[in-house]
Formats: sequence, C-alpha cells, structure tokens
Amino acid sequence: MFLFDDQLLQEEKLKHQLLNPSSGAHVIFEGIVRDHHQGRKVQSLTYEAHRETVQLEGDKIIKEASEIYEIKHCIAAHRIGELSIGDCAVWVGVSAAHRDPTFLAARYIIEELKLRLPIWKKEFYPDGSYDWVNCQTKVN
Amino acid sequence: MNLKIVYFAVFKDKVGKPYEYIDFTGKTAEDLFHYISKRYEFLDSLHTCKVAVNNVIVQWKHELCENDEVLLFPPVAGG
Repeated sequence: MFLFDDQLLQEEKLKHQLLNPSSGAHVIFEGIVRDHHQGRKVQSLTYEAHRETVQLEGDKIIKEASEIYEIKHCIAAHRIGELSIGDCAVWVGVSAAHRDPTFLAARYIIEELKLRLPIWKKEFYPDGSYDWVNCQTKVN
Repeated sequence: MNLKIVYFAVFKDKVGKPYEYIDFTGKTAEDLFHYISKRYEFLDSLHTCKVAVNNVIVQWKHELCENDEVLLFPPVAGG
C-alpha cells in the first residue's frame, strides 16, 4: 500500500496496519526533516508533487518489493505540502516471517521512492531565500 | 502539432506559469525538452529529468501526438 497526503503522517496507525500474527519481524524507516542541508541551515520545506504519477509509481514500487522479497506486508507513505523541522516526511514499513527480507525490502522501497517519485523539495532558509533541491536550473 | 506543456517545481518558477499551449514542429519528447530548455534557459540535463505524456511516464524517445499533454519533471527530490 502506498499513500501520500498533505496531513501529518500517523506513524502509529501505519504501524498498526503493518503488523499481523504471521510476521515475526518488522522494519520501519522514517525520514525526518532536518535543519540543515549541504552546510546551510534550513528553516522549513515544501514538497510539491504530481499526484497521478506519484500514486502510479508508488504503487509500482510496493508491488515490486512484494514480488522480489519474501515479505508479508509493506506500506509506504510520503507527506507533501509544507513541513517543519522534525516532521516525518516519508514512512516505510515492512513485515515478514523473518528479519532478513524486512531490512532488504525496506531499503529497496526507500531508495526507489527517492529515485522515482515525481516529488520536488523546496527548501527555505533563514535569510528568506529558497532553493529547489537537486536542480541546477535557477530562477534568478 | 498542438501540445499542452505542464511545468513543475523549478521549471514552473522559471517559466512563470504552470502550463502553456504551444505549436511544436519536433517529433519526440527529447526534441521538446531541448526546445523548451533553450527557450527558458533550463540548466538541468535531460538525463536527470523525466517526462510523462497524458499522465504516463515515458522514455525520451517517445513520439508525441497532436493534443498530447506533456509533463516536464525536473530532477526529483522526494524522501
């Protein structure tokens, strides 16, 4: 299951959906908004997305992980909109009978989400300026 | 051919509007990217960007058709 929303991610609710009696292991990864990037202090950020293709790609990644690894269940969620320092931006949870595939699948999912989802990060700095992360094109 | 071009993130800021309609004489999504990059001085290379046509992500060699909606995605930064 892949979800994305402009509301706070509900980590406990997601975890509850992940657990099941046949799973003896689960791994949860949480990506958190930090206060710096490449030596610059970050005040806040905004994630912009193209909703239709984000959902399609997110669903594909979850399906791929379920096919590649011997897991019971996996959920990924990505926040969009305005986020503050310390907010959870992305959440990945995987459950399986044993621990090995949970680590591998969680790593696969987060790496593919970062690489493939049409989501863009706009960082705001204390001096009032901003920048689009990973982009060479500059507005001014 | 007539196309709707949709811009996101830094491309949208640079162009100054979220979308526009153009009359394009090229053939592929790659041709379109080069045309738009030159017109608006985008600095990101094609290899770091993605393109979707009518909401489906496609390869840069994809051939465009009359009235396609082309989404130009700058380098992504989710997570």
